[in-house]
Amino acid sequence: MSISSALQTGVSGLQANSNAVGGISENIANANTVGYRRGFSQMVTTTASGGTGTGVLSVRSVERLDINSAGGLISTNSVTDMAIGGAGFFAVSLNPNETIETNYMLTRAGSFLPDADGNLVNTAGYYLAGYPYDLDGSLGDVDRSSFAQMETVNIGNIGLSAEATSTISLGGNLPSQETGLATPGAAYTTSSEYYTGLGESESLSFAWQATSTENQWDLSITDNDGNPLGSVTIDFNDSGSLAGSPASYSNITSTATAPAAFTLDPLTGIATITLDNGVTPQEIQVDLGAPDSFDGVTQFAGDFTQSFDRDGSSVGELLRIEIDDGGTMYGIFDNGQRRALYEIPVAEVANPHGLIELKGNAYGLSGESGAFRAQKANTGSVGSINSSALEASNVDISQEMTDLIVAQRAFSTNAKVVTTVDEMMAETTQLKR
Amino acid sequence: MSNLTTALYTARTGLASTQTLSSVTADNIANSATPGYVRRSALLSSAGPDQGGALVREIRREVDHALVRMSRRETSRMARQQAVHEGLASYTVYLGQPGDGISPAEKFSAFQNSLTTLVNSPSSNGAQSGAVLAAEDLAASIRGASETLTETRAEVVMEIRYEVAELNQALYDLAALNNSRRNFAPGTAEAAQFDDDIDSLLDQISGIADIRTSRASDGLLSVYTTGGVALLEGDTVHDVTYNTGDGTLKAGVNDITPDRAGIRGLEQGSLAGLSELSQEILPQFQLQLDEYARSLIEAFENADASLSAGQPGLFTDNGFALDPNDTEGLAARIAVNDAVKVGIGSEVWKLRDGLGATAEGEASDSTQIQAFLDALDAPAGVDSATGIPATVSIADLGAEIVTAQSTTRARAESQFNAASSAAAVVLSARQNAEGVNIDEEMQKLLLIEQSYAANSKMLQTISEMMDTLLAAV
Repeated sequence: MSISSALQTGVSGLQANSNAVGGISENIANANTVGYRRGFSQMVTTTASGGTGTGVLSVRSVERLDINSAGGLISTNSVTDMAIGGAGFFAVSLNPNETIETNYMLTRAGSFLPDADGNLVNTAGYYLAGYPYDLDGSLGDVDRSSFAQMETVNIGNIGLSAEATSTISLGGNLPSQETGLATPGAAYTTSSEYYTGLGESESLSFAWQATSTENQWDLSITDNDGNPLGSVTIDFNDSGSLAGSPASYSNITSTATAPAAFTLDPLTGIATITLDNGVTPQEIQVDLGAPDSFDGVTQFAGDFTQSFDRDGSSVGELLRIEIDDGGTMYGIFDNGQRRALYEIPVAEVANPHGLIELKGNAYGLSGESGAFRAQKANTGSVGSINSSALEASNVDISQEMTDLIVAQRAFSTNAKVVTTVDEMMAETTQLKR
Repeated sequence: MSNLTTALYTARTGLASTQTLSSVTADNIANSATPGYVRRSALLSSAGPDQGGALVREIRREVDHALVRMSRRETSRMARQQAVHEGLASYTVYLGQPGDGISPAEKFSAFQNSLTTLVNSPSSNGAQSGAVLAAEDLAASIRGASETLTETRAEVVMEIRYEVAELNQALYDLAALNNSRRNFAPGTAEAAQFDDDIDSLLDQISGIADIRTSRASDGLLSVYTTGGVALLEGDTVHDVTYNTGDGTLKAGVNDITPDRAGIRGLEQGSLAGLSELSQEILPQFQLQLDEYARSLIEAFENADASLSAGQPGLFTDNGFALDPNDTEGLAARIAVNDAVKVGIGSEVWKLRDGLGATAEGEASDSTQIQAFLDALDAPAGVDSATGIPATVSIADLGAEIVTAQSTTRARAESQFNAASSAAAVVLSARQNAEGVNIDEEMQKLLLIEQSYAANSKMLQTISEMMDTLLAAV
């Protein structure tokens, strides 16, 4: 090894360490950037000659990303702030509803807020992509290996049209002590509201009349205008493990005027009521509870209590949104409905270290990053989505400081080598007078 | 990954959650005397893997639903008895009691005594005038009782209207709260505030009517009567209406009139009590007074030999003879015959000779007066609907009525007392379960203070460690 190569080696040391300091300064500058991943320099030797062991070993620094370690979670008050707890990235695009696949990127920065059009956009200006649910609440088959079926998540113009009631479930108790009396007391009349196809609220009346037979009740149902629809006699079990549950449905009689109709399946306890309130009559299934089950109406000694659970709704406006661990974004509407709007997938790639760094702490796919896949959050190897939280950068100041000390010392030592070699070379030139 | 920076964030979540804890505690302490306020507690949980720190998951209201239900039921019961008791109180004070000198029964014995005096000295003009004045006193006392009763009935009807209006208002408020509550996720401080308001309204409603509530899967509260009729379904209110004519109460299209045959009406609450007053108790009181007036007029007409058909006796129906088909409200119209009115040129001797006599008879003849006295001992034959036996004599009827009416009130009072002490017991149990215990909150505050101090110490220490590091570079 010659003296001039010692100078070169010293210079390579200076360069490598100043690169490392550059990386550290990037990290410290971004210590408070949401979703930032720290970079670090690793030193590798370089040599000009072959592998004989006689070559000169210089050094160069290689930039690496510490993409796997997570940052701390900062809780916020905005529901649309999201943080991924675990591995994975949000899929974001440069423009709303981007069609060019190369304009899609991955990021951990989840500080999303709706823009003027209601599109969720993060502080770096990237739009959040997700899979939309259709009105039936199903996602269908989506291609999770590309961005093609993703849409920009939009919470701006979501309304909910009225939905006709199709099922009403009855629950509660009938007082058994009222049955079997020579002159049974008055009927218990109660009603349940339902929604027509236009979202109007109407009600069905249920009159429960105790009979003079023990544990037997007559139920008659009337429509919103007081017209009879039908009646049924219900016997309840009086003993054994099934005591209190319906035993059988009998005397199923329709008193409805066509096109209104009333039928009841004695095996399931589900009555089908057809209401004449439009060109196409509305059909409502009233679930009284299957025989020998306790999921509907029961009869024990006690109070008359009855409650209804029905679907359907009037016209609704979006009130607020909720995002669950699985990344499903629900809309809560002012008519009481809760509907899944989007699935926010968590993307993973085979080799996250191969991602290309882009501005706005996003990462682009590259040949090295390997196959991309948008998973449902909290499944498989990907993390869960935490709403109302942001992920801090994974920069640790103390580590950066210690790295800085090491780099500084290495730098000054290298500088010392260069000055020493310089002095030595000066000595050499002074050998000849 | 845990390092200095995450430690910093962790300490910060600690500070944030203790701040929430202290605001919840402050809220509890500030509202310790607020009626309807239910103690809240904040539930913390750790943030999860890879993330240090504590998060506030839920702000919970400490409600015991069974106690709440029981307390509402007792409130309804008490309110019913209270309505009856208070509705009768002013009337029975006016009516007085046997032996107090002011009740119609007392006036009657004064009248009877003056007749007895007159039997012994039929010629005495003073005794005659005395008997007429006593008769006028008696008639005035019956009229006064009837008038007070009419006022009481009017007040009860008015009270029902007020209560119905209040009930409807509460139901609409509840519907509005039901809607607003959905703007906030369950488990937030805002939702707890709405739940407090909703519970207060339900407590208020349970004083008016006996109710049952249920919450559907969409989070909406529905209110039903215990008979099953819907008052509120989500945001649909079934208005309660009152028909003054026949006393019918309706919720939407369904009849909820208390104590009516063939329907499951309201059973408890002030509406049930007031309805019982206006439909049963007060009409019966009125009938008793009317029957008393009828039997007096009738007895003096029948016992008076001097009268020709259609001529009024000593007591009249507003100056006329009794019309047996028109006895309703008779108690308000009973008056002493003008023919014997005491004054200048009055003919009080007619009391001795019969109201139909045209000329003064023999001064010592007491036959007619004796006949009057005898008539008073005959059975009054009152209507069975009064609840008084038909065999009770006219002489005893007044005392019988006063006693019967006072007993009704006394029974209502004792039932009210029983119901109110039961309600008080349940209410205090509920307050113990739901209310704020200042000592407990203070003890929590100590822990919060320590936890806050410890978390800030963490921050300080981490910051010092950073400083050390910076100084080393």
